[in-house]
Amino acid sequence: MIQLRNIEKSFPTQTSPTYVLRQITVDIAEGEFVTIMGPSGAGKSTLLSVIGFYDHSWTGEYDFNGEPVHRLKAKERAELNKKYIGFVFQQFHLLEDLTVAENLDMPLSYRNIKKSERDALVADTLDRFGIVAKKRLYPSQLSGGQQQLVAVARAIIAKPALLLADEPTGNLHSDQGREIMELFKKLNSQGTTIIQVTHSETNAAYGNRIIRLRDGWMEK
Amino acid sequence: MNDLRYAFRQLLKNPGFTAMALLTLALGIAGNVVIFTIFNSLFLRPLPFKDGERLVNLDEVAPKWNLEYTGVALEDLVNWREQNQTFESMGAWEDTSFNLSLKGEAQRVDAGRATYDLLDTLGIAPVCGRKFTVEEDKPRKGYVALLGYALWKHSWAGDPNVLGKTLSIDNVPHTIIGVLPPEIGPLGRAQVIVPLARVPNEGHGWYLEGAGRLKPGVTLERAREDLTRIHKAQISTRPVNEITSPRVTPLRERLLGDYRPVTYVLIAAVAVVWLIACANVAGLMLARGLARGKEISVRMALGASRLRVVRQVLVESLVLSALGGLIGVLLGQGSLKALVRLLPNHSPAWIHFNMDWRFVLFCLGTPALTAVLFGLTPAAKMVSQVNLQGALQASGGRTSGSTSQRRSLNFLVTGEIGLALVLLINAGLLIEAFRTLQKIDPGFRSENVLTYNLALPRVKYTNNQHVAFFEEHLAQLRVLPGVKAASATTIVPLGGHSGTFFEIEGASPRLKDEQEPVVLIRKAFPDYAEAMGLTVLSGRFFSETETHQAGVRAMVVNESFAKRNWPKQDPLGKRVRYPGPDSPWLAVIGVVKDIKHYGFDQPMRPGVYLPYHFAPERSMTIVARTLMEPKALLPSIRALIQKRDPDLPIFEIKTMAERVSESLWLRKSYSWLFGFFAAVALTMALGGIYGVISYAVSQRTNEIGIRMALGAQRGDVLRLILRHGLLLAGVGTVIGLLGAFAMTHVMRSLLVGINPAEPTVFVSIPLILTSVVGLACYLPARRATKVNPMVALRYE
Repeated sequence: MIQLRNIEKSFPTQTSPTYVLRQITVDIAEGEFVTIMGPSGAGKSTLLSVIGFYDHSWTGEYDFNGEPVHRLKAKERAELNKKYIGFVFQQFHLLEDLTVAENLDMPLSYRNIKKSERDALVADTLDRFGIVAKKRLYPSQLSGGQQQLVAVARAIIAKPALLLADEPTGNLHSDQGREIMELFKKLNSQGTTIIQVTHSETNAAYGNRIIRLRDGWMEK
Repeated sequence: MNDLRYAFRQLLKNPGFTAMALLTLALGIAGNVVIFTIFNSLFLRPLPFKDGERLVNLDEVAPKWNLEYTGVALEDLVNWREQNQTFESMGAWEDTSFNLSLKGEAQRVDAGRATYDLLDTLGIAPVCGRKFTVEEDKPRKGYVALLGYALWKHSWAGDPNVLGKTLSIDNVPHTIIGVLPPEIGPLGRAQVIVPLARVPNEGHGWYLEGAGRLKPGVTLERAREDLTRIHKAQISTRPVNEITSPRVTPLRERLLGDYRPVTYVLIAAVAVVWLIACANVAGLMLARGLARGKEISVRMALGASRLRVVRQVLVESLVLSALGGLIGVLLGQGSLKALVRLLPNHSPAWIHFNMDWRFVLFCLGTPALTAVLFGLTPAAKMVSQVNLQGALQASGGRTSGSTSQRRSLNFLVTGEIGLALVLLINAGLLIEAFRTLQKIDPGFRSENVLTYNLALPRVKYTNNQHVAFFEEHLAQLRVLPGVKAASATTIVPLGGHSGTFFEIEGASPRLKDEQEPVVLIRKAFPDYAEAMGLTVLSGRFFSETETHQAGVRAMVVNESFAKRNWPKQDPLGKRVRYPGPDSPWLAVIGVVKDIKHYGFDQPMRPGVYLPYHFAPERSMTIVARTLMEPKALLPSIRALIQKRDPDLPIFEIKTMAERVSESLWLRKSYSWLFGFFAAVALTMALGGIYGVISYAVSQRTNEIGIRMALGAQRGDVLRLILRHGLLLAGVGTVIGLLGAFAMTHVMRSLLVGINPAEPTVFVSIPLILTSVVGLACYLPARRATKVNPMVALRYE
């Protein structure tokens, strides 16, 4: 599914460029559950951004499902993102002014899906995640765990082939974190490829492979 | 002191915010200072006369003649004066002008003929010398004069020994008995006042301006009833009093009443600008206060007391208001001076446009209060509710600003757009009305026409010398190079009114209550139609035949006169005469198209032209149509007059184009002034919406990042932000349209010649406004599309 070859990313500074990613070469197959680990500043989130097509200023070669991403224009990459990627953030990033149901509907609204279909998908997802009773609540009326549950539901509602998660349990206590990781495991078993960034070895254990980064380099 | 220093540093650190706030405050204050000062000077300040509020204007009204003001007949004034029980005193005067010969130079000066009691009535005392005596106000006794202050200063260097000296007025020696003060109120710009010195029943008609001083405690209504009682009691000996009635109006209203609707409209305009300015400042302060939430939390976390934080915000708000106020007052003062300089002859001489410091304080105070309120509210809210950890976390928070805060901003901007639209639409209507008026065919051709007045003194031009003078002058004028046609008339278009009544041959007697509009009468030399560019509809204008053949009695009438007296008949050959069996009949030889004699927005009365030679006048306006720039003829004309009579001044030298422009001056000024305020309002509203959308974008960076991370494209983000701005514009437009429509009812009297709901204005201006608002939103919206979702979310 993902083939990265010599991916590098740097920022120009006064003396010499500062590298965030160095010669990253890795393959990730469909159905894998990969964990990216490393100390702060190692480049974990940056690598996740590159994989999710959010970051365009890198060098190297990146093939996604056979598409040479490095040759695509920004707009084409955005299309790939829309089609294949779901994203879960550490801070949930639900929109405060929207209800749970509206938050779930939001990614669908950017995907040329009819309103009736969107409503059906939202209803299905609410049901699947057991949050039907909360559909009219606003994020501020939910606990942290519930908010992240909604955030995960929102990330997968458009049926992404690849789910990216950046410290998904970082703002949750251990029970809530475990629930989310169980959910990831379940989604993975149902065919969703997952790449997560985490500091937690426990969370990493839910995956089947770990990529370790240090100062932008991949540890062998 | 630290607070003050920090406040200045904060303002310098945010130059965009500071510039916008200062500009808003300055423009709002300047506009108000200018217009309120004008309003205050005209309508609120006490009149500059002793017990000025007891002064009234006396006039007469004659609905049957279609005249709101006829002027006062001396006979009526004498009766009122002798029999009233409600006035301390009353007097009257006639506006005129005189030829003076000063230091060998001929001058024409504004002047007045006044009754002996006028100065006492007005509370005017000479700065030196004395007033007229009752004896001097009698025919052939009144060869005394009061000098105007400016003339005294200019021609006699303020010498008090001027008393007793002789002044030649229209070639008649008068003894100077006093000098008037600089402020002479309704006597206007008169530089010489002589006694009226006329006999009441001489039959001069209604030609005087009257003034009365009410006894203390007497109401207008009582005074009116008192004079009406006296007036109507005279009907048996003076039947015309059946038609006329006394008219008592507060002096200020009579002198300045015409300016009142215009001033009100302009006050409404600046009040709207003011509201927008306050809303803008409120919005800016609110947005800024909200944006500083984190800073305030940090300050408090580091030990700042609530009072300290509030004081800091208060000082900042006050510094901003004070700076904006100072710039605004200076700008207002400069603009006021410039505006007053543009209206030298259009407002009474005794009006002084000085700023009222109480109002300046109001202007400074209101935005200061607004700034403080809206700056302080978010700060106060934040410090009162603060849960430091929560506040710090929230500011690093999960989502964008609170809904109620954003609603407040949206409400302010919607209001601004609505108010701006009210002004824009009404400015559009006023300007459209002005343009429509300019396009009206006035019935004469004003281009390349020079006009000037010559008044020949009775003592110098005896017998028919004045007739010979004008004939000779016109003959000389016609052969000057560059002159296409030359003639003379008693009143040029837009030059005033002289009315009379005529008897129509064969007409059935008028019913008792039937309208009998007064007829505008002008006397003219041949060639007048050509010189003034009148359109002769049938027959012809006067020719040399009417000038030289004795016994030829002819008249030219206008369309209104013809339609009124001979509807559906050919007026040519019909006969008309002054009332009275001994008056000769005058045959209609021509009909001319109506002209806009009283102003482009005023209806025309029935009017006639009589041949000059029918009843020759001594004061005429010469009219020359030229093939060149009209005023280029002046040196040749001056040479002609100088050669013929060196003591004869040429005065009222104006081209017809200048007369037209002067007649439209007031309308033009307030239309464009209103337009200017509307433009200021638009600029402020755009600034407001730009600020709010920019603020919203900055506050929604996180949301935009989330949306983009979840699949939103740049177009989606652009639409999201534009939709926000255009929604505000849409709501504001609806409010504005309703407000504008309501305001057109108030302004109806000024919207002459156009439909007050003119669809082109009501459709095009909202469309233009929405487009401009769209543009103001596009810039921050475009910035929003550049958000990198990962950067935005990580930053959060």
